[in-house]
Amino acid sequence: MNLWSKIIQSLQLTLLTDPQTLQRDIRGAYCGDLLSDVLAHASPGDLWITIHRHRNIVAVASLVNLSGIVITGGRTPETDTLETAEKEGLALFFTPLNNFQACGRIYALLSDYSIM
Amino acid sequence: MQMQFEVQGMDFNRAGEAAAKIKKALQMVGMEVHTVRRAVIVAYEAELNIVIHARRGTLTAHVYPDRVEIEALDEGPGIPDITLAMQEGYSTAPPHIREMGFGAGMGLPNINRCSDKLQIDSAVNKGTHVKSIIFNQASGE
Repeated sequence: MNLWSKIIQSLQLTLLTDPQTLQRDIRGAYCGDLLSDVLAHASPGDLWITIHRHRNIVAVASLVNLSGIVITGGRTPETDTLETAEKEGLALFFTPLNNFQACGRIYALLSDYSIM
Repeated sequence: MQMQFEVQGMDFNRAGEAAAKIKKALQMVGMEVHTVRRAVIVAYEAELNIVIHARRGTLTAHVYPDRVEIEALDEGPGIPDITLAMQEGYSTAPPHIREMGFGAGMGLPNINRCSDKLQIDSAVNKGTHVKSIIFNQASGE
């Protein structure tokens, strides 16, 4: 099982975009709901955990070259968010877990892989 | 090389498009990764400041071998107290904008942190002119 599969299983993720979007490598993770904070402090290859579902998250993720976005709390993206993510080739997921739970699980996983 | 984009106030559907195009152009001409990152942050924050606060504006990128200059010129409310606006956490964005994750009072501080030179001129009820210079250099130099 590769890292994406483990993360998808552990964080109870539903992939909403084309599976081709999973080609990007995960190099870490970042959690934040302030777009300026993510823009300034997330690193390329990070998987972004957030409560936001509007299309501007895709713009920010693309600018920083993130590996994907996880929308938490069972929220699903707005239609144009999903369309933009497909166009940008960016993996978009949702999970029933909240930010804290999702972060805890991915932190443990990435630690096992010596990424965090 | 120069690129210029029109930015409309409150157009959140297109917000970030100008910054994305500037990023692509900087990558195409082979600017340092660190330079691209800083220029992208400046461009995005400046673009979003126009979207959030102004009626309309233009975002311009001047690209030279040794530097990138990002210029944002808008027609809008202006900034009464620039020193205050430069403080992290100070924001005049309304609640519905903050709910989207914008307007946290980090825009101008982010621009400042990523710029090697920054000039901000503003006239209340007229508009704001932001000019940022980012020297092309690898990280840590």
